[in-house]
Amino acid sequence: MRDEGDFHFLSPEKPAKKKEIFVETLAADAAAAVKADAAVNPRRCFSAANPKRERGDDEREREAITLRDDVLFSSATWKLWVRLLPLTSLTVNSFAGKRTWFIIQMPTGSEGGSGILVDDYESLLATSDIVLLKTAWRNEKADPEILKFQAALVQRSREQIQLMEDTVEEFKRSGFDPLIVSIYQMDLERAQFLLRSYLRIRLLKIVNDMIHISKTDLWNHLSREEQNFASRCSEHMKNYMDEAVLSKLPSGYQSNVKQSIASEEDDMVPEPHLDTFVFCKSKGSLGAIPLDDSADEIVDLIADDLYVLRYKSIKPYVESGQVDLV
Amino acid sequence: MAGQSDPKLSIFSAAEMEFLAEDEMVEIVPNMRMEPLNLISGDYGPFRPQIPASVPYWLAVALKKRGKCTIRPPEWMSVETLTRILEAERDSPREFQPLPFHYVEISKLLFDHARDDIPDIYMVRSLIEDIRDVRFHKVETGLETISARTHAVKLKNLSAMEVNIVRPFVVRTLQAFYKHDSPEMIQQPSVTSNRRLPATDRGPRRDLRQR
Repeated sequence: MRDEGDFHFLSPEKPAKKKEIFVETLAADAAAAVKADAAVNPRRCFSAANPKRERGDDEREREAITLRDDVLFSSATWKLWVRLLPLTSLTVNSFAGKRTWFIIQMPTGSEGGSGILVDDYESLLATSDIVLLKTAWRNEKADPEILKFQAALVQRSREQIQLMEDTVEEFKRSGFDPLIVSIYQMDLERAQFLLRSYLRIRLLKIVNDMIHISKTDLWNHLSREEQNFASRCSEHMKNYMDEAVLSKLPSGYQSNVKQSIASEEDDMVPEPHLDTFVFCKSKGSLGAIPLDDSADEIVDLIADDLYVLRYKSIKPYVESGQVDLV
Repeated sequence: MAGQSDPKLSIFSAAEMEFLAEDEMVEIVPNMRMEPLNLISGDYGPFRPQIPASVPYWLAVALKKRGKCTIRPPEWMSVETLTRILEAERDSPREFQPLPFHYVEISKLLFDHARDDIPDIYMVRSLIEDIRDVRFHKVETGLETISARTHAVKLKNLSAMEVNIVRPFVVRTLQAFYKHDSPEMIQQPSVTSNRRLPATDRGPRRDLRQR
């Protein structure tokens, strides 16, 4: 997924350096753009929905990606956007009033690097954060196991919500048309609902399977806050069980994870039910997928068709984002 | 027995399904002037009187409630198209006709909030209800064909609300078969297996499989 960090799509070999160049370029362009602002026709141009790629004559051979021609920023907050830009600029748009034009120039070191970058940009252009968050939410809801925490996505959505909250406040103060304010408010509430629901469904899963999660690799799927929550929660649970029941049982039966001291492994830990079946849709053709361990039954997933499959057989595809749960 | 699976029957509530459907796009014809909206979910507008604009359903309904626009019902929501779909739906007992993924929710939204914008609303409404009934009947008959050999079910063109409604049944059925198919269950056949519906029990069992 594209959520390892704000700048991860830049060539993985030299991330730090690329990042610097990138931000520098961006800052320079931003400054130029702010100056040029007045000269540019502020009419939104919806025709240029795809990124235009042009080879400059500069000997460094830069790849210029004009994002929709209309990636707009409030000049007051553009610094924040520079930080968030690689992933957010495409979805968070202007804030009424102050508008600045941006053209983002990407220094491209190697062909391979630029390929990754452009691919990522194209897929990003097609999907806004809110769409990504919606997909993450659906997957999380339908998935019996806890998925990897979408740290960067949550962070971005949070900042967008924060900014929108400020904007709505400003609108209210400056006496905007109540209709417009209420529309912005609704949009904000929809985004907030998605984010809250996403976080809550994860908490629910953590509460249900906390011991199992803390013993397995799933622990790394949690955010730091969730890890804190999980360890505190299991500690409280253990203390409570000890006090209420376990300490009154004969010795040998006092563990909260083993039925008795004779059990060789923890046999009282609830686990997510991975043998369950899920409804899913594939985004692209994945070829034949084995349906059981012996691999004698296979299924060909056709893009956008709906299937009911055993979760275990498509788990890796869900985790890599190739298959969406419905 | 099979009853020990997930107690939560429905993972999405009807309201949540509607929430998802409200992000689908629809055309409106505004009767007021409004600058473009730059929302978290996207940019919409500008809005000019009598010039159609494309917005998500939640926004369309919000504007409609305040009398600021008329909603253009989607193309499929016409008597001809729906009649054709209903006929095709009845003619092909094994297939579902392509309809928008959220057609149930969208039609409910429009019936609730934009009655006056839909031509022949009573006809359209009863057609959609008929289509729903036919499709659910197909899903139900489809459920009966699930057997121990079923490892995957393909449900082309099934819509979101239909998925949500049949999910508990399909998942439980498949789970139960999967579980009873496991070697230890077959060595000691359970008492409940006698009570199975005759239709679900046909076909020879497949070979025992390593768990």
